[in-house]
Amino acid sequence: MIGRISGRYALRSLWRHPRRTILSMVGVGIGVAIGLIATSWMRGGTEMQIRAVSESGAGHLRVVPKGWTARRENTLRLPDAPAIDGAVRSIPAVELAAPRARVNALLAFGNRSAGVEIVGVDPEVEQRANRIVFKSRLAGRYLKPGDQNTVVVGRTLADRLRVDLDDDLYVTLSGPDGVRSAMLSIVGVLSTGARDLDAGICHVNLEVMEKISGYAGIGEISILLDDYRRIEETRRELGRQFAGLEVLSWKEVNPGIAANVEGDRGFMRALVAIIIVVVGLGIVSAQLTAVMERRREIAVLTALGMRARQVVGLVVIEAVSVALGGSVIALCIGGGVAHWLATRGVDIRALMGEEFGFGDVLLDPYIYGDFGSWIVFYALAVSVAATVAASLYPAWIASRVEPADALRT
Amino acid sequence: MSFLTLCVALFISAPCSAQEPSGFLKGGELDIEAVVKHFEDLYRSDSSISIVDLTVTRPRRTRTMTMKVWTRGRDKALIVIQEPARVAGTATLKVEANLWNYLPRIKRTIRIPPSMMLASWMGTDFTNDDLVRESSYIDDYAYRLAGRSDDPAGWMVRFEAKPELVGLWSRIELILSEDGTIPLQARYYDRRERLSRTMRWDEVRVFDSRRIPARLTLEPEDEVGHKTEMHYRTIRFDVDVPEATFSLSFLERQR
Amino acid sequence: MTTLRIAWRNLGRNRKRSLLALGAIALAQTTLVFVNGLFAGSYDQMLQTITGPMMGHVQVHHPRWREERAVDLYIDRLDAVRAQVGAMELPMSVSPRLYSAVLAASGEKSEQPADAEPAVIVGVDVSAESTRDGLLESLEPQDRPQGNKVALGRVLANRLNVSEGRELAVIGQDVDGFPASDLFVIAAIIDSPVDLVKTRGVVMCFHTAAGFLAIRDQAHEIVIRGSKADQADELAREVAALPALSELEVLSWREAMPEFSRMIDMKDWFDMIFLAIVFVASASGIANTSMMSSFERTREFGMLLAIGMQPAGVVRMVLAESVFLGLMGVLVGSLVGSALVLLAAHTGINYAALAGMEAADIAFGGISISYTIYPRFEFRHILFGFIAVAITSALASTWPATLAARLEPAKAMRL
Repeated sequence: MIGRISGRYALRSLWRHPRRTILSMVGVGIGVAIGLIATSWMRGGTEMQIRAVSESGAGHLRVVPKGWTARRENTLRLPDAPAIDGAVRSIPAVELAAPRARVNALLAFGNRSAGVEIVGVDPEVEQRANRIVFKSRLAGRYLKPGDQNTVVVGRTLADRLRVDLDDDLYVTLSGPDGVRSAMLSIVGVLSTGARDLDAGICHVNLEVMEKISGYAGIGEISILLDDYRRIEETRRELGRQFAGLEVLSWKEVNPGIAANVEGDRGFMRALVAIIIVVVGLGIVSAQLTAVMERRREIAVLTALGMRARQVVGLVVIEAVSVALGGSVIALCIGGGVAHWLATRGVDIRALMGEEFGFGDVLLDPYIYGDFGSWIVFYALAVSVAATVAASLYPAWIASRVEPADALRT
Repeated sequence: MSFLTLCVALFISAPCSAQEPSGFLKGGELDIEAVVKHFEDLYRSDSSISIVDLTVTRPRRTRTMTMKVWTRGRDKALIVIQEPARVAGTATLKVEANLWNYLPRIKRTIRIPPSMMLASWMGTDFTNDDLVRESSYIDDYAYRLAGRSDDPAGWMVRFEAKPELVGLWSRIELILSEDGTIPLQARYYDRRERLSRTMRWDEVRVFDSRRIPARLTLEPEDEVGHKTEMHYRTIRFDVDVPEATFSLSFLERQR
Repeated sequence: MTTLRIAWRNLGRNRKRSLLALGAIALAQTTLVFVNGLFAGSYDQMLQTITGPMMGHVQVHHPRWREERAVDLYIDRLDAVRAQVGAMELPMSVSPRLYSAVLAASGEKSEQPADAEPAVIVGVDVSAESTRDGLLESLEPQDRPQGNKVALGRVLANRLNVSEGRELAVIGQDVDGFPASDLFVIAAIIDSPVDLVKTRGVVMCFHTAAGFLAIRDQAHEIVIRGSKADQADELAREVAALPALSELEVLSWREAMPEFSRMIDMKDWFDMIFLAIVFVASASGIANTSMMSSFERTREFGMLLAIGMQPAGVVRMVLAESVFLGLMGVLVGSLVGSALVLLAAHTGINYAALAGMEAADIAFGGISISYTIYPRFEFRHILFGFIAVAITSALASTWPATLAARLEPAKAMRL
């Protein structure tokens, strides 16, 4: 009984006062849309930072030999690397697995020399997994499988040694059995635009690394997942499979950046929370006003015999309907903007300069919002919650109106 | 310590026979083969004991140290600084791939990690190519007589690096004395054919019945005011250097 | 005049409605003031992190030192430089530093010689570095470097297999290029956010480092920290003008690390965008409330028109009401907002929980990060809100009032 009467009255009432209804829905819609956009921005920002760090070489996760974290000894090598590699690739969440081997060396040309960490890579994977490779300007070419004794260096490093494409660098390094030397021919010069990064880039093929260093095998496997939110679960999975190894997240590989990102994320959440509160209160305020102004109407209903429960039901049903309408509007506006943010993104090159390196990380000068099915859920949830919460107090008030009093005013 | 490390490497010797040359002119022409071999083995012997002054000149300051050096074979060398007094007794020992330093001031011996042999050099003008010294003039370079030179006056021998050579120089121009026995000057060209550094030899003396220059001077090309000099005071070749010299205990004894 | 009185009385007669509208306006102003304060605080925090232990506000070097890092590229006549900088009578800390690449090894006597690892001597002014933001902030007073006691970076200590209380042998070269060596005692092992210190650092007091390097009255770097990080450029210019520093390189942190400079400017931009979003959110609340209220009063407006009020008069009345409400709302909002900011500035806001962290100050791989912000109060924040909010509320209620004023009184009253 409550439902039928309240429901029909509510819907008819909404229909008969189009301006009020539309205003309410628009109010809710805009408020929620703003919340949507802010959240999309925040999630996009977090995602972008994590992607920047993980794609700059750290990976979302990294499998390293035991003892690496304490001493950061880059000549440690993984036992039975092919098995580990295979196992890693078989995990569905894993998008890319980049094997690497590192060694410290001295590059020299003429009487100039520079210390550097040479990184042995699998060129095909590296080109997809490391944004330092795929986002930079490349003179010459990148490494190819089967290359013999070729190297790709960073622009600043090349300048320090006063070398360029096709020059042969003299490399000395400390191998397992003593000092070794070799010649490497520069086939490519990478330029990220960030000086510190460009001074440290030195890539060779894994086979070449093994040949010149004498250290066999792979020192780390850097893993990129398809979704950064699956880092912890994948890490646990890997930890179970490889108890004798260390599985690090990008946070441990790069603690300084991690602290920044986490801090940012927390701060953003605080801000979005504030926005949602403001939006919610705005909706409350508007709805309260609406109900206030309808006291006379409600008084008439009460006088005609509508019970308190039905009045409350009336207000709530109206609220939910407004919420649904509002969420549609929110999805259109907010969803639209979020989609634009997610696909086109905001170009901040004017602010940051072309490419932007921070520590070991190459940042994107584009901010992309996040867009996904979460948006629908979000719009509905926030609209309904805010509008219903907003109407509870007025509903209660409305149900206590003395018809005579109300009608007199 | 890169300083001493370098010194060790420079004194690595190779077993060979030191031959007193009687000149390499054969019918007015230089016997290139013999000349190059002689040059390669100029300072080498199965074992040696020498005293050297090493002077490093930089735009802002110059420093000289006097060192006593024992060598045996290719793998063993001991260097002890004798002057200046404040660093006297500082010693470096190389046995095969291992390198140790003894510091008299703190009475400790430490083992130098092999990677330190690669550190970029605040010390001298020698390169890590000199350090590793894997290449040999005879085997890794194609050499030929390139005529005469005016300044300094002598014969010019040109070395061109063979394609598979692991090293820094694409070409070395060596100027030798009239009789081909004494090097006067060498110009080193990097892999892009740019002159990179010049080595000069002078003050020819007789050391233990070998006639060789007592002083080597190395000047890099594009650094103003940079120079490194090695000045031999005495050298004794093929002298009996006991094995025990190249041990940690000997290292730590006050020299 | 009458309009104003009618407007005022209207407000009084419909307390609930007025309070709601007031509430929306006050909320908007509170939020704007608070969020502004929050952003100012977080900007301060970021600035503090950037100009943290290594960087300071202004750095002084020999012109070629940053490129070559050679021991003999020092700042000469250190005492004269310090005296002149000190004489500037500005509140600041002046911290000289010495750096030198060395080899370090365990100094304990043992059968086998200890293995050496590359390291870097960092000679610092211990008291200056033990304050907040200093390199040695995390050390207890008794563990601070002094005399032959040094602090060792964690990763270096791991590689050397040494622990606190042990002896450390350090060998390197003095300023003349001669071998230098000494034995030290490891007073503490530090986890520093500065990578150089953590992986290779041997931190000792300035005097000791000078002795090791046979240096007198010289330094490699002088780090100056003034009272405000965003006045660093000015400070750098003033310092550079001193005669004793005429041949030295004097850089503010922005010049020394342009990436950080860009980063914090970028943050400023983002904050502004966020503020705009917050403003739009609040404004929509005000607008919604005001418009709703005006639409619901159509009957009342109709009555006024019917009894002879001019349409313009109705609009003026509504405008007056919204101006009153706006002023009062902004006043209340400013007070509440300021109070919140000042309170939060005192206690700090810990957003660690939101970041997913348990404790307020987290050790992340040994780094101490503070997830607490201290909002900063600035009067102009109030002004900004005032203008924005007042305009919004005026506009929001006037439009529907204008619409109402054009209605047929009869029709209006029937609604």
